[in-house]
Amino acid sequence: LEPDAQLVLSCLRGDGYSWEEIVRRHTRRVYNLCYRFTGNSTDAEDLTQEVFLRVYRTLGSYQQQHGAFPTWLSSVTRNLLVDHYRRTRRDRLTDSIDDALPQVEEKHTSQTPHHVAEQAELSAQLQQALLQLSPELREAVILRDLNGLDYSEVQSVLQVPQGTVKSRINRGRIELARILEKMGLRPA
Amino acid sequence: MDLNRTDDWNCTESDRRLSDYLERVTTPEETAAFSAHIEQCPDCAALVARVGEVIRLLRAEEPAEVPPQLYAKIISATSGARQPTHGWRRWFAPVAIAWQPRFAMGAITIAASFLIVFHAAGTSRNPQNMATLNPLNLFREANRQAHLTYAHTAKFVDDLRLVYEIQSRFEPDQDEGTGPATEPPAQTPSPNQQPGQSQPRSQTIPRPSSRITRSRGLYAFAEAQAAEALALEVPVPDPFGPIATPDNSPVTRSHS
Repeated sequence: LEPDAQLVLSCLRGDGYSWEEIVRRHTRRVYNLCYRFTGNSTDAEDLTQEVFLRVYRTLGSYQQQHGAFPTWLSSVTRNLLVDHYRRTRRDRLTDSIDDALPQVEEKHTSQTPHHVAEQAELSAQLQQALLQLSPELREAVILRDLNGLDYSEVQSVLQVPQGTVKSRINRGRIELARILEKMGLRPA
Repeated sequence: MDLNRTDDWNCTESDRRLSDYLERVTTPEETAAFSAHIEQCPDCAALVARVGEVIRLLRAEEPAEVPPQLYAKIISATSGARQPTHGWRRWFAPVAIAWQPRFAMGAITIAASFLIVFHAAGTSRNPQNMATLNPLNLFREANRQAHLTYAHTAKFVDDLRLVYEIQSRFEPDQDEGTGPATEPPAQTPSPNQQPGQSQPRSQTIPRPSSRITRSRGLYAFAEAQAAEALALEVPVPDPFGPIATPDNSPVTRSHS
């Protein structure tokens, strides 16, 4: 039995310390998925809490034969992210000014010659470009290239055929490359 | 479409198989056709380079730092427990009360009490070895301690009885002498007293001086006092008071 599966079993038997271990092991993964998808640390924090709250309530529905626990956790996270995306769609359409602000700040900071600052700038540009992808392409690219899931795991999370997964990841990468080119980023 | 034919591999096909090509999951024939196409098509070659760079950048990204309070927030919102579960503390997890400060204080108090009791019983004076744990030796030691305790108690009671006996013999003389000790000294100044001078000691100290008691021992002093008092039936001269007159009548007790 995998360590995660053992922890889930102990947790279902009422061991609170196993639950804390689960949270300790997976908070980073869930938070990063949320942060990459939303691009906002406050939203990511709230969503991570929401994910673990839902997992805590529905832990009994996790079955090992349906996949590894991290994949199941990513599915729960992804479903909440989709809900969150739909919930906030109207806000985003009316918040074009707020969206423009980070870009202005990033252009200002790109003047610094310091390597660390350059890396931070690059990272911020990448995040900004990710947010311009459609949610379907974005989640596929995040799961594959940032979270390091293989194609079958991404398929389990997204619950779509493997051909669709491959297509979304490929289109997402190409779209991202074009966005970054428009932002002035050239291949090294 | 026959993918082995280089001229059939167009830009659309390159776009569609770009990730496969970069992740090296294309067949050798497909790879050869793809490579031949991008050598002739600068747009596709540039796109391959850009997408390759995007993948490299994404995979080199450091995970975002999790806010430090998030873990505690999640636990608080779900199970509500806050005890750490990793390391050696997990073995004590079932007795969570052991981590409460009041439990620790109680445990320390109990330990200190036992230490005092064992020390008072004399066990700490002996070197601890296996012989100490022998039941016979334990019994002997307990028996010895019990007898010693009894002897000390008996001696203390005897001493106390003697002291009270002496004190009761002094009672008639102390009725007047002890009075001023509890009253303000300036209430009835003595005619002979000079301004600033305190009350004569002989008026306030008819009982044995604590200094003598300490220097000679209670028992010896009480014994001497009792012998003297019983023999002469006169008050004992105060060693700190005025010197007694030659006829041995203590001046300090003559005036009331």
